[in-house]
Amino acid sequence: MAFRILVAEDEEITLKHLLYVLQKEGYKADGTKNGLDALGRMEDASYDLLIADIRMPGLNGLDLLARVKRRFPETDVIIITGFASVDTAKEAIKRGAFDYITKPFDLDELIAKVRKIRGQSLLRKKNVSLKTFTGADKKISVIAKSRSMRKILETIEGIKDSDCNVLLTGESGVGKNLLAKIIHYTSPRGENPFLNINCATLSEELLASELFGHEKGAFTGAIKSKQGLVEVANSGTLFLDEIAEMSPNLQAKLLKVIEEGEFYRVGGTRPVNVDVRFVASTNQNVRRFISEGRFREDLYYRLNVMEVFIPPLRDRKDDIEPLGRYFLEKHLPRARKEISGFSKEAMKVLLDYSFPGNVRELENIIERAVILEKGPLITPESLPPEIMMYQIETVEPGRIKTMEELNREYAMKVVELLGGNRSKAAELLGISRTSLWRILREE
Amino acid sequence: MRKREILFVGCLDEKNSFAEGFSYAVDLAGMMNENIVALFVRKRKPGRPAGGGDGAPCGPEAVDGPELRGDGKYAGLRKDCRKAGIGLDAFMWDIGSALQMQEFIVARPGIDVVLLSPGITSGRRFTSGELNRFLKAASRPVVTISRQPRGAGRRKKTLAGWAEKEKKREKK
Repeated sequence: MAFRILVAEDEEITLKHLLYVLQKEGYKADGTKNGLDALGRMEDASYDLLIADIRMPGLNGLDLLARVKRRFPETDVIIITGFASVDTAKEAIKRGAFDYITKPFDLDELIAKVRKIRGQSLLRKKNVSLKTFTGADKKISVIAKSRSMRKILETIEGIKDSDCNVLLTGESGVGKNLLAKIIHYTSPRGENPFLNINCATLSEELLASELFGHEKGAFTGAIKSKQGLVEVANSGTLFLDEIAEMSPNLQAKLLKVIEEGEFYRVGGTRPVNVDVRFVASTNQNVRRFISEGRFREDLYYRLNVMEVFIPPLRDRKDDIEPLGRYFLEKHLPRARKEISGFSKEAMKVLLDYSFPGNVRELENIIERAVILEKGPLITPESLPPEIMMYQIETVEPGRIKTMEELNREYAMKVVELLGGNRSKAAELLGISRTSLWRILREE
Repeated sequence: MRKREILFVGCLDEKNSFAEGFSYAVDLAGMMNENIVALFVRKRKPGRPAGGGDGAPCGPEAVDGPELRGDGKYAGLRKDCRKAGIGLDAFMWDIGSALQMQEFIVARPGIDVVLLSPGITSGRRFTSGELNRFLKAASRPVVTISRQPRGAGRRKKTLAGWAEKEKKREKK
């Protein structure tokens, strides 16, 4: 079904121009010069997107937006304003607009935004949860079709009013950084700074100086005093990435900040008081680190008021397709190509692959495929040859699949392939229907 | 700034499987913005003492050493990494059992993930029991890279074809 767009714009030339461009892009676009008429048209026919000017006769853009959002919550709205001000834009976003553009607008930018909305609308129709959180600097989108990811988003939603420290765990590339931003921006501290630092990439001395700042002359090269990130993040959130890599000395110092909200700059003699929320992340097994004496147990419990484990992508295969489509829409505008989706074979290759690099790897694979692909669909030829040449499996630390698990996985695959027909699956597997039921029951 | 690392474990003793799967490691490292630590292992022959008995060290030996320095294949790996902007640290190690690889992982906390080359997973160097013991003990996710079994595609095709045929029969 074509993506339907209604353009409400009082300037005739702009309206005609917009309609021409949108229709040329293959969208079904209608236009009106009056806000009230736009509302009437919305009632007569269902539109996926409304592009509305702020100043219009009948009903202004912001009021139209509010009414549309109330009556047709599924319709996305882009506001056009010739009177660009941050306040108007903020108001529009607050009332539920997807985005806004300012006059004179860049048509490429508008088309890119429309494409993005179309992609997200498709995902919504496919019952994929796509949450967009508005941060101070940009919008953050999370795609979650799998039950585990939906549950995580629910958990984050549940703690949005709390000020507790959060520990995010999961492998590299699963999206810990993204979730940390969401935790911050949806919290009451959302308007205040969000800073992040990777504890694994800096030496102990440098990390101490970055975190706690230093006084002039504290060490060679400290020619002036400097505020640390803990101080700058005051009243906001500090995200400590790869916390398990922090040295024991710094762990003790950090514990003091968390417990007492107080610390000393490197070389400083006066305490500095701060009010910071900490979100930490690690891809290591912290409990193992604690038992080996490499991580302080007390710090762990202080940070781990709430632990959110983000499962690897291979354990939430349901997310691969919607994420793939999302990244495709994201990278298409830059490549300036017309690719409408994935061929069945390409999607099968992606679904069969175990993604050791998780979502980050998937995004890179799609970005590269968009560049290489010459046809209208992503085909296996534009995917990395290695993932087809080799059978690549990822085994989680300390865990090997048991025969029962392997049997269950295989049985589920066969049942899925046969469209859920268990009798046929049992016949193919050479077991009775009862045995198949027993294998699948173990879930 | 230190980058995180991907540990690639390959073989030294068979010429054909030297660093097989390395291109995948380079790809993954590029995507993850990480460096590569390559560990080329050679299974110690039974009866050969831990230290090699001929002056060879017990632990992993950094490969700027004589055995690989002049080796064209190794130079090729280094070139691949340089081209992709990825740092490469390489080591050789005569190990008695696959389980010893865990010692290497513990010694380098920057390692994010371990890739076992097809040469390692083929079962010729280490028994599957040994590899399983390592997988159980490994403190980082382990990615096994193995060659697609011959005929696997055909088997899949047969299964899919069977399903297709069944569906058509039902429709009729």
